[in-house]
Amino acid sequence: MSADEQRGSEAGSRNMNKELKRVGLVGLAMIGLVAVNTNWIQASQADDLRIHKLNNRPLQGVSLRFRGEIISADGVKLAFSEPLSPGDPKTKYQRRYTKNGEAFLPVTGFFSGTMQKSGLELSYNSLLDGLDPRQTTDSWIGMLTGAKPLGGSVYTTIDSKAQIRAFQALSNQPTARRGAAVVIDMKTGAIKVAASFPAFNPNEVADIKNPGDDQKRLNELNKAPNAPLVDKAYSELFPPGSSFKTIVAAAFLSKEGNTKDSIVPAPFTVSTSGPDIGNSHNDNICGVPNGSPLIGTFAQSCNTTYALLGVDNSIAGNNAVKTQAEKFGFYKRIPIEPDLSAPASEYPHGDVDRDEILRGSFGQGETKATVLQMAMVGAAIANGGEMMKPYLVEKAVGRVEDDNGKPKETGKIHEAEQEALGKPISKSVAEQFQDMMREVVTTGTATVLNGRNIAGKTGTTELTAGRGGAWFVGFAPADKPKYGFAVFVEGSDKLFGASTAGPIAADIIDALGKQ
Amino acid sequence: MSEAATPTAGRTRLGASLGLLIFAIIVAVSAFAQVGLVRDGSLPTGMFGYGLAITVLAGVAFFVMRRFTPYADPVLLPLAMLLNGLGLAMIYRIDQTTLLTFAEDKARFEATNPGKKFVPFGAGANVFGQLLWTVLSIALFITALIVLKEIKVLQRYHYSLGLAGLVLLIAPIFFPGINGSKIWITIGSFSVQPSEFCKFAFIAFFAAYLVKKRSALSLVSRKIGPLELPRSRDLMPILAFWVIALMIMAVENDFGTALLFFGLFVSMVYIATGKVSWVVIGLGMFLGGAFLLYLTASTIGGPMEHINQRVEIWLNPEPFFGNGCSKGGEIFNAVNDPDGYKQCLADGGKFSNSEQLMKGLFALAQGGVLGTGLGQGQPYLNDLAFSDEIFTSFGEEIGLTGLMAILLVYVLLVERGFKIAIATKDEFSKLFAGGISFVFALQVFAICGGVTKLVPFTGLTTPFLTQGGSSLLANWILIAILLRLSHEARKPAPVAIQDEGMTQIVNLRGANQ
Repeated sequence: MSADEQRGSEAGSRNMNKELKRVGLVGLAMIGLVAVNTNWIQASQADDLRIHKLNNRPLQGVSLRFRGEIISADGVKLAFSEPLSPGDPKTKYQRRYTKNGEAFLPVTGFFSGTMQKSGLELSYNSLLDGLDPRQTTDSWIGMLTGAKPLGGSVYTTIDSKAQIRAFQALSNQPTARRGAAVVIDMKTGAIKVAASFPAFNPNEVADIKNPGDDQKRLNELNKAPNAPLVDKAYSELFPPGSSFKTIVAAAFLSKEGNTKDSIVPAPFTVSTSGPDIGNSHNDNICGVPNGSPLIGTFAQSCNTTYALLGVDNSIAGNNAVKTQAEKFGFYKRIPIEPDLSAPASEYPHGDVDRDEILRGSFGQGETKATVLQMAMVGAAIANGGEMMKPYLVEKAVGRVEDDNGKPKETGKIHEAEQEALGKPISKSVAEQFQDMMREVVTTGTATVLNGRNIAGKTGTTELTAGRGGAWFVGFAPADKPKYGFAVFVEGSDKLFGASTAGPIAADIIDALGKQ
Repeated sequence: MSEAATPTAGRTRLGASLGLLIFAIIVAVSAFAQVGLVRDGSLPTGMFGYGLAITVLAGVAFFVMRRFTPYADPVLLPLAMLLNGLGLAMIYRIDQTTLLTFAEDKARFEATNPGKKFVPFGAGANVFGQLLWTVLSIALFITALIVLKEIKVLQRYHYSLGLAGLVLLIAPIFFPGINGSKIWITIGSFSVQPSEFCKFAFIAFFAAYLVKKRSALSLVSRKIGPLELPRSRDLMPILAFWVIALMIMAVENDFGTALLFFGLFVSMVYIATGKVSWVVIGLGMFLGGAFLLYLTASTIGGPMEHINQRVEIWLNPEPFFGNGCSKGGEIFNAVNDPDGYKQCLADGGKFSNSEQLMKGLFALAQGGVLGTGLGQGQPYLNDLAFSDEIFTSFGEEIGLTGLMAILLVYVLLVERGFKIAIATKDEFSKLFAGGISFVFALQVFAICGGVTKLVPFTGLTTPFLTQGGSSLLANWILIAILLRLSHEARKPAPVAIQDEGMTQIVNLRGANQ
């Protein structure tokens, strides 16, 4: 039978070739899909996967790489690496921190011999380690010129002198349990000071030769009272006390027709289902049946005024305060740097009982805020109502090894972008606010600070019997604002916003001013 | 059509085949040499042994092909040999016991950690074992090439083959599972993955069955829009196979095998009938059934959890990295939240681990476009670098470029297979060759797509690359069958000598009987 006859005999039934071709194409298309997907992963996703937080490949040999430096705005090396056996091309590198390392803990974080990290050591890990994709150009040039690429360096916004001053002031409080201070450049959002107490020196956990000891120390710190591993500047929430009255006052001032001189209620007490709410003191402003001007109640910190502003919709009300708090950044995490953000601050609203709102409206009860959040409020008021995104890193640069084997900086591979987060209050409200905060120092609760060219709102909270907290939130210099700040100290019930937190703030600002 | 597809029909292409084979051997042996040079700083001592073994095996295979199927497709043997050789080289690279310093490292470890067992990276990789399997596979390949003179013989035994396939498929239920999948038969330290051999049995069975039933299955009873529905009684076989596939998924916890066999069945029904409606019905049934299983498994838990885990890992791998437990939509990671994880397991939550998948992706990322170079990456950081994840191991060391080359080898393999199917004349052989070719494509898609997070992870093997005997043996048999079919299709028909001057009489009838 010839081929022709064969075909003839098959003429009746189809020979399946069309179907075979189609199925074949489907099969090839499936392999094609795998090829496309592999391309996507190895070409487009590779950079992200290589520095993925679960990927421990970069950890392989991390101690053999010359990690970059973390440097303060005034040029102090806060964190740096040193070869264990200089000159040996296979040397390991030991991470070291400046001698006041504990003061800078909320900024640098730690980098332990067990490879655990926090702070900027974590945020900028791949860049410090030299594996950041942005350094690839350096690596390519390096490959061509023979220069060995090293880990990049990170330049922070932190002022080292003010930072040390802040940490010393916080730790010198005889009864202090916890405390924090944050200062923000109002125009840019750069964090100049971020101090936290208690702390520990990161050198204690950085020994590359004895990671077991590092782990032991970390375990101790993990169990230590007041959680020194958790920074208080941006990672913990505290009741803001009377400093929260700034936000309530802002809600009132933002209403059409209201000014700092508008008359607001300031009764002797406000009744709740439990004990009445009273004022810390009563005089010709607080505890007056016919009401007082807002600026007066702010300066004297009348609790009754702000409790009522928080519940009475005809003057402000829960919803107005909540909206105002939201505009200042409450209810959502505040991003600072990659993998570094502050938890969301809270003010009770909606379906909660009246007592809760009354207490929450002068910063007690369920109202909670981070120190960073309150510093941002101060900075926004100082900056004519415009709030900037906070950040810690001004720039980062790549490094290569020069001909003598010394590290040499190359190009800039990261630069901070100044970003406005919105305008929680108008310019005129901000200006009236500045007057109100100055009034606090000239005639109000913080007259002890008179003459120190600083303005703000005090806050004194009673947490439990025998334990209290002191706040000072505001801006400086008082006459020509430049910084917004918040200082918080928790200790015995003998602490007061004006006498404890106020002078710390003034001292930090003085240290900044000396530059 | 068939003539156009095989312009060289009637000519042996043994020269081309030998050339390609030599090239494949050079690539594989160079891979061995590179691994040795990078890892140990010298040519590996074992390299000559392995190189020689591969060369001898390839040579023997070639001469048997030359003797028994000289007209066979010239590309298939070199392709399979190349993949097998590369797989051996990668397993050699991962098998740290082949390191020059292995004995030294082991002694040092045992001296400093008395009483502890030294477990090197890549434990489980065994290049010598794989070489033995390769020898056996080539032996089986040669036997198949010699014995299976008439593939059509298989047509006669199709019910026996179908039954044998079914038994092999069901057998692993009675053996303990490995990595959550019950697809192994374990006897002592020896384990076989019978589903690999089922491929051969089922393809033969389907082909014979469809030759008989293709006209009946092509009948149209009703039309709904463009969809031509078959008669309901013709739906029985597909329904039966659907139930079997779902059972494999539910009982053996193996999505991959179910997908492989159901996909194979549907594609072969389509090839036989030319009715797209079968594909639509089949795909709909399979996806619907799988989804239903997924829903059932996630509500009642139980033995089908493994599939759910693989789907959950596929959708959201990160929280499952390094052991995770999911319960009521919440995931507790053993590393970040050990207490929550223990509690969740105690409360009957579902355990999964995405480490394999994620580490495979990290390996791919590490390799990038050009790869780290053979022997210079760290593929052994993934526990299954030599088996399920061997594709990503190649991805790390020879990069995207190398992976594209490997995928191209598979593309060629599949393309040649379909070409053979088209060139073959009889229906059974056409279906057989088509089935084999499609099963290769489907398997590559399922496993390579699985490790690159294109589809949920399945426990299938990467043909010819993965360490493991069953897969290697089964795939070499399939190559033998393709070679035999292509030989039959391309060998010149006996030609009548037309020269009247010669008095020779050729009995055409007799020649073709």
